[in-house]
Amino acid sequence: MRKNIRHYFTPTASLMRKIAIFGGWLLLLLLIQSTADIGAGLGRTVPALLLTAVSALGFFDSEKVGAVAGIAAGWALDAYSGSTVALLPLVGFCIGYFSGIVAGRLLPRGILPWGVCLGAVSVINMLCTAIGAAVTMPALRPLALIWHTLLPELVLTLLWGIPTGLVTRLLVRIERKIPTHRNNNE
Amino acid sequence: MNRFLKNKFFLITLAVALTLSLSATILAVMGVNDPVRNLFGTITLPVRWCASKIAEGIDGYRVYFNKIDELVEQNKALRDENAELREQLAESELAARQDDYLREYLDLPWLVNDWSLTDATVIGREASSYRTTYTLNRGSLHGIKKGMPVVTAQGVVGSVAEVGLSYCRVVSIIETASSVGVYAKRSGASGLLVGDMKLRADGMCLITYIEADADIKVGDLIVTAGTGSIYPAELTVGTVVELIPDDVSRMLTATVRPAAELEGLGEVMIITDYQIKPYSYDDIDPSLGEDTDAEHSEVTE
Repeated sequence: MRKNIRHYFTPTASLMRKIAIFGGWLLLLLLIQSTADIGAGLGRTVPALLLTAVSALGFFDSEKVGAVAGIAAGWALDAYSGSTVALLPLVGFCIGYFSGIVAGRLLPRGILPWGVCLGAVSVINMLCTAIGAAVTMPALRPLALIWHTLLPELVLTLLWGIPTGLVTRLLVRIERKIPTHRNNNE
Repeated sequence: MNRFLKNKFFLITLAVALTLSLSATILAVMGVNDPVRNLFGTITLPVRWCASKIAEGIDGYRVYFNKIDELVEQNKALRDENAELREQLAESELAARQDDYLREYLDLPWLVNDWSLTDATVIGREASSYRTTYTLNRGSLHGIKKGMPVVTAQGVVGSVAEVGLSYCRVVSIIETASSVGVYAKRSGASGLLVGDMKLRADGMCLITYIEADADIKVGDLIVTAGTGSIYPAELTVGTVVELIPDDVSRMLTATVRPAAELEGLGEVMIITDYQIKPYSYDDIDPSLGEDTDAEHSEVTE
């Protein structure tokens, strides 16, 4: 048991580096998503940058990194936006973990196969928005919601997801290339 | 499936995710302020403020390069409007003086809005697609409470929907869930201001339940009614840009452009307290009375 706890919770240099690089990237995306008016031209909707990055982290790094990043990103997004239905920690976890599970098993680890995950993230995010809107605004007309919010959001997530995924992949590669102390000693 | 259930990492992280999701949802449904969220909101306040300022700067450049022609036209239109308003101001000053004189002469009580205001800065906009909410840098520490109206010099912005220790979230009037009693300043035609999913994208909203034969036209100024609403009366909401008759319900629907510029919102005021009270004659500026008396004596002479 003691061995297991040490395995999971010892703050190694590699773990701290991952937290700093990926945490910083997720924080930057959170600020961009919630502050910059990137959806002004398309129905004032917001692309799911954070969930896209979580999926890319799970896919290009590992399911463990994806799951933890998903929980943290989902919780921060919920806390930041103050939504009543706090589904995002669970959704973020599922996206991060299962993106990592399919990578290398069902799909090869490449940017094109990751497109499948991006599509899935866009649809899942759309469903989350629909649930949130239905709970917060029961009098909403479903057609208006689909046409003016859900579809623009889907398109924006797909468009913005590509650069977000590429940058995330680049960060994963950079993080892996940084030599650890142990490597240096060797 | 069994593979996942035997995986300790999967089970632990799933439990954490479920706990975070459920606890936050249950607390929100119960109307209790989540202390962890509150702490997160307070800690990230400086970061949000910096991000908001950076985004404002970037947005300023975007507007400068993309909308320069539009701004030149808008500037010309505003100059014309300014000249017209100056004329109207001179006329209304005269009308106000006559009104002062008549009220005093007939011993009519004066009703005025007595407001207490707190200034605030917008430090973020809500990160979801179906709501327009803004985060302000004022919270319960500054005496802010849920439901307080938020305004700018131009007009109503919305009302406080959630209060944290040092921040609060404001739901704008173009939000689909909001509904405000309003009337046209010129004619008194009343209706209910509601948000609309389609118009929200253009920064506009609707007035519903206007009588079909009501005296309302494009360009009319819309103000809050103040009856049974969280907003005090006579707050400027916006102007009518389009009227749509509904033959079935025999009602009119008006499209309204809010007076407050919700896009690129920066500084706002929160109305922390308001009451309508009779204006005491002791409060009347004595010089105003002397002027009207002098004018009156000139007229009688």
